[in-house]
Amino acid sequence: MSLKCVLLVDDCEDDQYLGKRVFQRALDNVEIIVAYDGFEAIELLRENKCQPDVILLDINMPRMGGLEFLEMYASGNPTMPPVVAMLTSSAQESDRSKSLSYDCVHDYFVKPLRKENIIELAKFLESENFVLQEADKN
Amino acid sequence: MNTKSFITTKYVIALLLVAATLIGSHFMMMRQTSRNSTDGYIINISGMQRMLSQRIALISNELAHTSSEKTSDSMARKLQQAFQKMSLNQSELKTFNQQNASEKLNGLYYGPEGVDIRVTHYLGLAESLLKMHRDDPSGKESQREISSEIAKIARNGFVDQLDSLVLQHQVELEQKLSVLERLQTLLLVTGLTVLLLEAFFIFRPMANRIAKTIRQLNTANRKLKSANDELTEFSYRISHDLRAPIASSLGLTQIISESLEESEFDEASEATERVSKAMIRLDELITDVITVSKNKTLEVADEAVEVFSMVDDILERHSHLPEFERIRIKNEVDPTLAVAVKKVFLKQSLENLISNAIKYSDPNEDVSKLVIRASLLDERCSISVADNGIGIPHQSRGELFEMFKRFHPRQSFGSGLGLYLVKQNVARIDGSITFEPLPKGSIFKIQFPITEHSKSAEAILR
Repeated sequence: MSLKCVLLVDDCEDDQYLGKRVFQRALDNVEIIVAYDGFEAIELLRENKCQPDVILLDINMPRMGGLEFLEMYASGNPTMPPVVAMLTSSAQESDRSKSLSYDCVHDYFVKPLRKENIIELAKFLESENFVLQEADKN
Repeated sequence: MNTKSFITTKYVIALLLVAATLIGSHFMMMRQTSRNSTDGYIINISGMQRMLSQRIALISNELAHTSSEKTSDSMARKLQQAFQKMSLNQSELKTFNQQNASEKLNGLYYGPEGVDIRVTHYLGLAESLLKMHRDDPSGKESQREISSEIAKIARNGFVDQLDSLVLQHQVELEQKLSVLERLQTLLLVTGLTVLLLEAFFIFRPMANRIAKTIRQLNTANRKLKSANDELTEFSYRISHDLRAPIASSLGLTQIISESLEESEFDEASEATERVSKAMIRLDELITDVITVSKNKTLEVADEAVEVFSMVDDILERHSHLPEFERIRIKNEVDPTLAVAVKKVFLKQSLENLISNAIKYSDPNEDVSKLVIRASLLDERCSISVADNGIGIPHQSRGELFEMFKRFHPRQSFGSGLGLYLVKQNVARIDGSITFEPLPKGSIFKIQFPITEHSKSAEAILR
């Protein structure tokens, strides 16, 4: 499985700009969809407007933050993509441990997003482990 | 007086009162019972006198009538003993009666027909009989005369008189005992009254004081806890929000240097522009944080404020905002309205509300409106800021005045501290801030009490 589509959930337009640029420079043919907060992300996923391979999720956003989104997402639709990576300016241990307590959360990146983060994610998606893991689920 | 010394004082007073009551009771009882024990002894003696008078009559009779010399001697010894005992008792009674006897008893003893004279006479006869026996043991004839005189006295009321004395002693002792009983009851009632009074005037105020102190401590504790919670939340949010623009800028500067290396000058220019804006946001956030923490301890005095001019100034200072031109703004405050208030807190609050109304106006609305009104009612001043902007999402209304809250993802301008600062400021002028959703837009209303000082504000300004 390769990384073709990313849902970037972040209210900061600078970080959206950065995310798009770093992804495009790290990978070929990758589509970036942007949501301004958890609420918009849930709507996009619910209406099947996008089927991302990975969700990159900020924690601190208006209306619905990243942790609230995870709460809804984890209890929600099982057909939603399984891999979430946090992308936040918070290096606080409490945020990290809360996030990683969800099965779907694979990584916790502290901003700014770097090329290495993306390569790590892509490798994980391509790895056999992940493919096997998915096959087991199905 | 502090609580500790208040309670200590009350306790000491209560204990001293109880101790004084106990000590007083003890001494009164001691005095009464020691009196009564002497009384018992006296009754005993007066009873003995009655018995001795009978004994003397009997022995005298036997002494005068016996023919045996031996019996005569024996009777004389007994008579001598009885005589001595009765004389001794008489003088003891005299000593006692001089100090303690009631008037009635004194009459019975020492009145014209009193016992004392008769006892003296009776003992005189017994003494004569003894003398006769010593002088002439066999002269029984004259002894019989005296003995029959003794018997006559004894029969004719003497014993009864002695008996009535015993009775009178007894009656008086019983009276004293009932006084003692009454005294005991009185002491019990006094003790209980002291306790009751202590309960009312010492222990109740004490309990109230303790309860009040506990209430104060609990309130202080709650305040401390909420201040601490707020501080924890504040430092968490600060660590996040302060770092956010810096993190973005770090990424952006990376882009700038890559773009410059690749001679993509447009890209470099855009990223530079973004860094600059991020730094402006950071500066605004820091300014807001400083204002919030500075206002917590800022002490200012009331000053006279013309609300209309204050609103006008604020509007003037927001006229550079891009949305300003397309909003129909009405300052409907009465130009003569003046209040005395801690000016800086009211001004910052109105600034925040008005700037929110402008920044969060709805671009899709045909006519955007902003209306500011003010009124005085029931000693309170009320200032409202109403708009037909994008409003507050229903689910976020509960956390409207919390720190670092933003509600509009695509229209987030500020630090998220604005309404928190308003809430903090209106608290400093003893006021309140309320939010009312409109079918389209919002009304924010600040209310604060107008002091006596306020009422003269108009006069000051004129």
